[in-house]
Amino acid sequence: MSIDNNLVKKIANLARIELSEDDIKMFSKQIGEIIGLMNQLNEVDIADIPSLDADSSNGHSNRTEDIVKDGNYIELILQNAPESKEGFFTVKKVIE
Amino acid sequence: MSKLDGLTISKARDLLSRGEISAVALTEHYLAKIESSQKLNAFCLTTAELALEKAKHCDKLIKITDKGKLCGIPLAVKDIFCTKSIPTQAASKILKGFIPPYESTVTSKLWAENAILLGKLNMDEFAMGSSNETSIYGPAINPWQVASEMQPLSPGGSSGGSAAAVAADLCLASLGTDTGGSIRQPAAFNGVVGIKPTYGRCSRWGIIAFASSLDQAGPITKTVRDSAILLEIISGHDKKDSTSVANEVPNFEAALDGDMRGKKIGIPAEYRIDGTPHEIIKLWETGIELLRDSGAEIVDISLPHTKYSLPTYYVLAPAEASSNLARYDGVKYGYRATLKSGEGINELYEKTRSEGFGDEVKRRIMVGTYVLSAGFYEAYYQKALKVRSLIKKDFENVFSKGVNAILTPTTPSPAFPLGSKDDKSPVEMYLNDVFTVPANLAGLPAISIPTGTTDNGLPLGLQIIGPAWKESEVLNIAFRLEQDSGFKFKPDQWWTS
Repeated sequence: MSIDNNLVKKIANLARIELSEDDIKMFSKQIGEIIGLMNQLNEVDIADIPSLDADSSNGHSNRTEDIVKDGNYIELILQNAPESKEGFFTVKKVIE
Repeated sequence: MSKLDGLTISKARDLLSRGEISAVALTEHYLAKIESSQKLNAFCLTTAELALEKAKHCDKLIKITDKGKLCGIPLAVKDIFCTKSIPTQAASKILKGFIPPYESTVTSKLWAENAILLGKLNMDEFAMGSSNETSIYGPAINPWQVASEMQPLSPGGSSGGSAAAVAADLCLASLGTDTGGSIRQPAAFNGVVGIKPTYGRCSRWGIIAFASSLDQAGPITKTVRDSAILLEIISGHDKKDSTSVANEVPNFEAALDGDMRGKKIGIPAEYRIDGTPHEIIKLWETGIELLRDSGAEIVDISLPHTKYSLPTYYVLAPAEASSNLARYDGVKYGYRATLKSGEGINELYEKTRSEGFGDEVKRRIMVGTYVLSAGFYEAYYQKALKVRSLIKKDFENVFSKGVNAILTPTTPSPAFPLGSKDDKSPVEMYLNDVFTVPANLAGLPAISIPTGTTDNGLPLGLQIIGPAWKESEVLNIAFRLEQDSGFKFKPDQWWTS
């Protein structure tokens, strides 16, 4: 099974991944096969399962109070940035 | 052979506290072994200086009672755990140069008990893979080989380096993470023990996220006792991870009595899959016999939705991954692509992600993006969530009937040659996870222990799945099987230079 090249282009655009024409061909085929696997779910009768997200957790509900306790990590955080200036991340100009 | 060879945590702990060996000698021993075992590519980074410094500190503490439960114990951890001031990149180019300013909760618990970090271990990129072949460092190599073939085998994945390092005795034990079998499958392939605890048992804080509703950290060790020791230390509620649960952490080691009387062990019909090699069927049958002989009651059970575990997993895990990995954009940390003049912020994102992620990661991000996109969200993502609840219910039904644990093979095959799946569909690789994925989807604790080998001498593992929070039970059954199966094989040491 293969999916449409245009669909792969659309997904890649949504995921912000640049693909070459060769990549698109390869991923169309492979993602098609993965969707083939996922389509097995169509056999399962889920009519009686409530539409709310199924709770997969093991009983956690550990809410913490919503208070600011720390901060001022600007220097620490920017140490890992590829580029920064005057306490900010820098990128190419976004607004003309 | 030196008395430092082949030690376990429990033996080293005794030797250290009796002063028969020093932490420095033990640390130097492992650093030398790591150095001479580079062919295995199990370590992506060693922290020799820090390790020796810590070892010296531990040797000074040796007479103090409150010295920490792991004082002087050299360990290594998967490259997915953020380690403060030590490079961490989840085997991905996109995190090149990333140095965490903080320490993951589970690793900080190890160091608080005075364990020693030897280095970071190889893995599949972002833990996405079952063979270690998606790593930017190149694959770790399984220390086991078929003697007559001498062909490099996959250590499994994603925690392949963690399992290979323990099997080759390059550390006393290691930590891995398990999203769909990433601790248990490599443990089985390398003839070592690996346990994925109940979802919520350990904090995920500071572990680079793959699929947050499935990821759990856990130990990979030479013995069940060592797994019990490490698991107890890394367990517990953490304010920084609201999915970690404030349940009491039992003394797992003290619970290892090996008493199987009155235990009911379920054998699921759905795990008998066509095409499973006879050696694996035989291994399973032997495990069943051993448990029956030790007094357990063996019962046939049914987990009817088992066959939908893989499709469910391969919808949900990529969906969560696509959103977790959206943060890698070339702005905040790690790799940034070089732009041509005239290119802007969109090109920065697209080129950084195209050059920074490997093919398997791209595939999963795109599949995840697809199942979450308008028009497909209900057909795939919502449906998979519902099927997941059915899979979970299957297990609850069985456990509510008094079954204490479930015994299955860990993998549908022994370790396979590196490169042998290159021309195959990605789905073929996903089939490796067929026996391990259900425990992740249901959030249950599951262990893999080596209990035998193939005819040509490769290790095979059995899996024990227990009810939520019953790691003690799972460990104890594994402990019994470990005693009775008598698995003592070690890989021939072909790799030292």
